[in-house]
Amino acid sequence: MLAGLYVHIPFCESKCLYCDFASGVSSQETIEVYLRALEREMAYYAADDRVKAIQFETLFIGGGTPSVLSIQQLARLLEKIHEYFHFQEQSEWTMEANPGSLTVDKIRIAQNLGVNRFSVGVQSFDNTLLKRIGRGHTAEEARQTLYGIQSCDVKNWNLDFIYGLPGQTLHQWSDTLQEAIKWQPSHLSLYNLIVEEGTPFGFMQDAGSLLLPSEDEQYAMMEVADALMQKAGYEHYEISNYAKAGFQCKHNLLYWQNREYLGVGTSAYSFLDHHRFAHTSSVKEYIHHWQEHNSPLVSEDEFTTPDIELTETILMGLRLMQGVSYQEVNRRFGIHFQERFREAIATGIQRQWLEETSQGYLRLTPQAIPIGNQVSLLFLKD
Amino acid sequence: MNRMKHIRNFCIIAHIDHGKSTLADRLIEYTGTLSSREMENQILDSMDLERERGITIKLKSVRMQYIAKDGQIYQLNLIDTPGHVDFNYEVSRSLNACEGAILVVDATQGIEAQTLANVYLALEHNLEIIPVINKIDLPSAEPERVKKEIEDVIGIDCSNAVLASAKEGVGIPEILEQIVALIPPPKGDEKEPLQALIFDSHYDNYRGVICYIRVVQGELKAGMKILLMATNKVYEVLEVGTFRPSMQPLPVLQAGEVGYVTATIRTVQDTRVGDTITDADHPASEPLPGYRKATPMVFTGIYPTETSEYPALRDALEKLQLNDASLSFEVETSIALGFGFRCGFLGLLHLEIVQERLDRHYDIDIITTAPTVVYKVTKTNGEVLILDNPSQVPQPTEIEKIEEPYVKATILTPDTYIGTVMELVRERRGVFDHMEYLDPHRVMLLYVLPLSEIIYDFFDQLKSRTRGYASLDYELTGYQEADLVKMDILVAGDPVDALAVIVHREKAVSRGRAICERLRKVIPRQQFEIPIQAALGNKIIARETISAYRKDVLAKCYGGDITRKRKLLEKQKEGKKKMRLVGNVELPQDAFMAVLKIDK
Repeated sequence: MLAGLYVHIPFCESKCLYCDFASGVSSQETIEVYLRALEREMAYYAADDRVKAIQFETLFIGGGTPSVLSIQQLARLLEKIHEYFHFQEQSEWTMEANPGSLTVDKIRIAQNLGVNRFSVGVQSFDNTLLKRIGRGHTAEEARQTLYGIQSCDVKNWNLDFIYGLPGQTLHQWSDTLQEAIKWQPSHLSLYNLIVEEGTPFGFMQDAGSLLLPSEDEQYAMMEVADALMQKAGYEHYEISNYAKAGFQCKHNLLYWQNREYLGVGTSAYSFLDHHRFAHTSSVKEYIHHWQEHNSPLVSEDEFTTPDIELTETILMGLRLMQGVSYQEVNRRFGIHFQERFREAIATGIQRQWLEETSQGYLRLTPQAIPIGNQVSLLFLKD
Repeated sequence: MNRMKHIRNFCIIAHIDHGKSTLADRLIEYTGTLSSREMENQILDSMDLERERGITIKLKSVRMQYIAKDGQIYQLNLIDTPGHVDFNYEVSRSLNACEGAILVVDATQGIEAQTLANVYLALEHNLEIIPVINKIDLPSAEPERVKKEIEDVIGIDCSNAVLASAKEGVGIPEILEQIVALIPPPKGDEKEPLQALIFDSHYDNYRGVICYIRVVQGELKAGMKILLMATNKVYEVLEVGTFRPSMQPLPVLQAGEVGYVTATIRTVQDTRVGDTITDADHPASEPLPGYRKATPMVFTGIYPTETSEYPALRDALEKLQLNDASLSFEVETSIALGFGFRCGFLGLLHLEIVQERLDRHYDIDIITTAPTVVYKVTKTNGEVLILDNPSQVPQPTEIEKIEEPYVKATILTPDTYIGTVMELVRERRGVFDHMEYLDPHRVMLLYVLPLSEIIYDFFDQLKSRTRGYASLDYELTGYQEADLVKMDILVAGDPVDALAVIVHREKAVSRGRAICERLRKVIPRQQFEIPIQAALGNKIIARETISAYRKDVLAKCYGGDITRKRKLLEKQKEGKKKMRLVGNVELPQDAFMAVLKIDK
């Protein structure tokens, strides 16, 4: 059996104003205790028969900011991962990082212990914007980190950027992207800012003090990004993701193909054997729990029915530019896709939102990419 | 005659919140009709909705036994009256069943317009008025000022007015003694042919319609054949009795008494308030005076949100009608909304009550179109149309004139707000009639204005602009010609029938703009640009544009987001289902009320 492994490190040097992930600033001591709890949890799953049967294809250490771990902590974590889980050869090991904390020493250690992909949250090359959104680093520090990555001969690396930031202009966005392309990463993730409730930006929006670019301006940013990416030879393969040939993110593809994964650490989600579940998102609760118990603290879970899985497979699959394969869906769910969704497909095609490819895929048309959510609605039950 | 000497029939007149229900509770408690353990607070307002809104919608009566200071036992019949202008006719019928009224006035507030209207009504019916100054326990009470106000405004003597606090039980014995001493016993003769006034009725699942009656002449007992004189229907009486406050059967109800009668009547449509019950074998020569059929004044279209709920909506309206003779409805179809009903109401409150009942008791999601009054349209060929739906108005070239109902409105306000009130009424095409000072600081303003201007948010505006101090009452005076035009609202180029309104020509442009702007706000962006226009005939007088929906938020989508995303989309889909597809455009429920709720 194949699957992905996700490991959550919920610590950051500072909390960004838009962030609603389970992460925060903690003391070295808390980090240490958390890592001990995480090891107990990994040991628990390693002993699980279901997990024992898995050959992991990918590892993704995310957060938070995994690069805040010290060299010793990082080394020990990677050792433990090797110890507890079986990986395929050629597996993809990604580590998320922020400029500043990702030193050359850490990159080297990580590489030696199996990490072959780095994903750096640069977000912008504009210092004013970085400051406005509460990032703990400057554009110069980001460049420093990127030099580091290049000097370590990392082949597979991603940079994250955000658009639609408060006060961001089309010009600023285009400058940032042009610089990003100069660095020649193998992968780029371009996200549209979401203002979430309960974040500082959420409160500012409620108070009317968050001045975001208009929808039309954001649309223009999206178009500019798409044009620049295409020109620079990046393939648009998922709504927000671009990659050079052969460098798509295998781990994220698991999510988009609605396949199985195990998540460890706070707020990590797993999807195994038609069971989707998450661990508590509270670091304190998580640590405390593992000090007293010998099984994970599951905060929410759901057993998926074939109907739910089918819907989710389509919803996620339509995020991929190649679309959803009729054959794969038919094989996986024992249905006849075109029959089952005849009306939705017909409507989608008639509105020029969907198209069928000669390889038997159903995908969004280029003009429907920005309104993918609306298109997805066609496939939900009435 | 001796029997009647010990009967007193009375009601309580009070403004909302001035303490009517509490006083009723105290009287019931004091006379031992219910022990305090049995007392549920505010017995008379038994419907949830009434309690929440602090108003009495359905009147009821209760019989109490009271041993007065003179040692005699009296039968006191308290008849509850609704306290809202929509139900004026019901009030007048229940006043007809009484010989006296307790006028409750809040010692901290003074008289309000509605109270005044009801007191005048009571005086017209020759009722003995017993003033009671309530809430004297409050520090801000000014009983002397309020007494003087009552004397000045209504012209009744307040020197013996009881100072009471219904909440604290102060003044209750005094009130009971005054009822006995001041209110005259009923007149009438049990030997005469039967004449009983129906002042209310309600539908009971097991017993059919229960009529609340006042026997004026003759007597009524089980087994008798009765004739309802207005509807001309004959029934056999099953049971007569009285409310204490639960139903208690009696062998007979005689002239002067108040009680109920059941006779397997299946709908309240047959027991019209104000109708006279007589003996079918020995009928009275004529009915009691004053009957008129309650006529709806406000109409709206009510449609199920989901078309499949149409039968359930019909069923619910039919059930509501069992208990509400003044609710009318008939099938209506709208291009925009499909199958629904054109419903008639006594007023806006009545409409709101029905809306809430549909939602709360029947759990039906409905779309209500903007309320409208009944217009009289005279066509150039002399034909007169009575229209309760703007979309039925003929082409302008075919119209000779349009008339609309007018009301006489009485507004009571502190004099500091005179300017504010005048401005509001002017905006609503009101014509000033006259003004009177009730006391040095309170003013009564009389206006004539179109009913259509009142049924929008007039009352809310009056309240908010006067910080809640002003009160309003109105009565219909008749129809007047006005320069009215039908305004169409076009969405994506097509007129939407359910959005058409009738407006005064001078206000058409500003109203049209406001409606278009409002619609722009409530209609979600769709995949194409949507023009919203207001038009008089072929002439576009206002326009807004809803720009096309261009993009979702393109974000991350990780493992944990999958469920969340699915649920989010499911919710969106659910919301979409509640929208109405008009042409190509999906309109939310709110859109159909947009013509009503216009920001000032």
